[in-house]
Amino acid sequence: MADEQAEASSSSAWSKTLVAGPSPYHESSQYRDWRYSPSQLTSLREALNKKSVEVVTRNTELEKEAQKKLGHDFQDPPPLTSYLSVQDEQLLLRFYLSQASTIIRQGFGLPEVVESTAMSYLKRFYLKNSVMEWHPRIIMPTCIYLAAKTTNYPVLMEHFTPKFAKLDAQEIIDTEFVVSQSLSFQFWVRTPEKALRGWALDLQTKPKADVKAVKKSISSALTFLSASRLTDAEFIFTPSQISLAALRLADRGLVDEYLEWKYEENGETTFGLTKGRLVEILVELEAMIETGKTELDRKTVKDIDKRLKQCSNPAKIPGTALYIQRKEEQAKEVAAQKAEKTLKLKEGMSDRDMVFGDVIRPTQSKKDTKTWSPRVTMGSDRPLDGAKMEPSGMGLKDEAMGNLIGGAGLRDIGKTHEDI
Amino acid sequence: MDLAAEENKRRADRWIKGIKVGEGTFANVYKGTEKVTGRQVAIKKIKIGEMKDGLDMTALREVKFLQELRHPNIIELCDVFSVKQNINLVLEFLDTDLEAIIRDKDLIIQQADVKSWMLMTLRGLEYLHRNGVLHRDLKPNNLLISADGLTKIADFGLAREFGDPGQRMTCQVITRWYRPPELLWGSRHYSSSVDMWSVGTICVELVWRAPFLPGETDLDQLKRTFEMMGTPTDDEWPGHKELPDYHPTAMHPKQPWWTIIAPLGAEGVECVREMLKYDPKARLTAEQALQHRFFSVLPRPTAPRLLPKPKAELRPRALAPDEFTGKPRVENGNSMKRKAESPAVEPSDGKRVARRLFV
Repeated sequence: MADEQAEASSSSAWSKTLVAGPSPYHESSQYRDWRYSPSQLTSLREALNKKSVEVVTRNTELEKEAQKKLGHDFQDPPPLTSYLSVQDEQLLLRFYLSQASTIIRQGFGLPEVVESTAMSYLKRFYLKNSVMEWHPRIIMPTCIYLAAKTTNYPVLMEHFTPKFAKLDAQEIIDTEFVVSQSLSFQFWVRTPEKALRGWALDLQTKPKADVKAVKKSISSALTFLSASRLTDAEFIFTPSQISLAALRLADRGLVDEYLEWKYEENGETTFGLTKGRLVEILVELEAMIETGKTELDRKTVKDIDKRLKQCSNPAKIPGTALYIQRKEEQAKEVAAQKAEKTLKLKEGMSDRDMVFGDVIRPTQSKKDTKTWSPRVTMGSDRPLDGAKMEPSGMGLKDEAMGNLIGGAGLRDIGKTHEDI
Repeated sequence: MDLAAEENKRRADRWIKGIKVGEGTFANVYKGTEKVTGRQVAIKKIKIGEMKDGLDMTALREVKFLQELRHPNIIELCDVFSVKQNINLVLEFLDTDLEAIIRDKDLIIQQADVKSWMLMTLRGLEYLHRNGVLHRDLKPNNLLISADGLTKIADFGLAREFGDPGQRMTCQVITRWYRPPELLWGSRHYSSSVDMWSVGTICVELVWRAPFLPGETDLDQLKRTFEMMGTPTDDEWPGHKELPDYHPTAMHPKQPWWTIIAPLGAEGVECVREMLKYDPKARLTAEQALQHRFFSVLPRPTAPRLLPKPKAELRPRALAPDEFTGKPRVENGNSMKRKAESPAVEPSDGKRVARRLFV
């Protein structure tokens, strides 16, 4: 948890920073490409919002013309005041983030890693796109679907879509690609839950550690981690910082005593930064996590969503003239490309043969066809034993069969199943 | 244009796609060059097809891990971009692999060469394990060789993170010949030691120039393993009888099987035997293996650029059968993942051209 991570934070002045040696985290794409300062986040979002308003305005005009051409009536575009502001966008996003969390937990019973990853995908997506361009109603389920796959908890499409109102499988498949692209195909999110486990273990290395207190603090810390997912914390701080702050919110005495001991044992450079600086970061983080706890005003969200209907990019709403136009153009392009490819292939065949010699056909002499790698049958001779649900486990799933069986997960340690 | 689309275009524009050099069901591979530097690369275009479950898990895994891993002994992912609905992985260009070397009987492999390949493989693997990743498909044709002789671990289609307590994992991983007995007995909780077994068997194969334990079925794999190395006892592998798919097998006596790797010298034999311990907990870790005396006693490992290499550089050869079937098998109706294995399907038409040069 080197201090350089938090140096993105512009809110405090920086004294001489101490940098820890490279850790696996320092080589992650999260560290490389997904860290921002609060002011960077703000200006990024403002620019995105401004650009989207322009796109929407332009496209609304185009839609009007297209509709007129078709002989339809068309309402005039809304006056500029009703476009969404950055704050509106953030509120709406926040609403869909909490929705995602509920659906993943209660709808699918998937563990934290899916929840954390899906919510990060959603937040990252809206650092590259505006809600006026892509409505979170579709992007949110797509992020869940994708995160379930990248974290090894795939859900079959036929089990997936029924959990959402009015969601078409094709919409997911269509947007999955857009989402992946917006994520720059970086799918590994370093989530704070793993770091929390690490802290829980390290807290117990302190002489006369209060194991009971450590245990107790974990479940409480997990609720603070849930709150942190609704904030920008992950863009500004490291997973280990976030989880330590969550622990400190759960039991301040425990963490402070531990830090006291740790710094005494290991000196100034423990964790790559001074204790004073670390506590500063923790305090800042704790305040941020608290903001994730505030309740959303449903009426405000509803109102924003209503306004969004009038200022969404028409080119991306199915049924509009522009949408149909765009789809047709895409189809034409694909067809043209296919034709070109077939042609190329025909030409290329001879060309390739000359460069690389004869085409190898898998069936040649008997000796050649002997398989080099072992031929294997699917291991279906015995029933797979994964199809059980453990109420208090980490969530069971038979990886081989792709079956998905929900489990309560880490957050429920020390709670009964009914608590969820 | 969307911000993401713009970024994508910028990335796509860095590369020129050249001729197709490899084709499989799962991906096509093209030669490519970087516009600015002229650097040669391989562009792996993953076929998306009309999958009802969207982006293929194998592709997602490969991209997920290669995006994060940077090490001289792991294949480098230079870039990822998309054209239409296709994902293109730009990978460093590697011209051959360990399997081609093992099979090229014109090449003479010496102890120092084996040491060098093992050392590079273990370095890459230690990095992988340190980063919490299991490869789960180590075999000679996933160990690629660069023009300057470096060994690079490739094909992360079956890789996954590990280290979550209580997490159940599939035992249907690692190509059978390189699969450790605990997986054959259905272990659902395992660790980096599964990859170490694979390294051990690959090391024997390098000396023997033939697969060490070429089982024809999963059962046969266990049988061959025990015939060769003796049936495990409770002493050497406590608890193995508790494994989900454990079944009693004929008692085969211990044999000095390691005489076949005697050319590696006493230290080499010891190192491999410790990688092939039945008890996963007793097996060497990648880190321990790197510190093994085998790598510090003479002869010194051959310098990578001096290692033997097949002469015909761009020689096309057939894909291993599981490469043909890398696409997830969905006939069970509930599987979205590729297995480390393949059904015995021989492509019958000449359309499936096999030109595997790298991944």
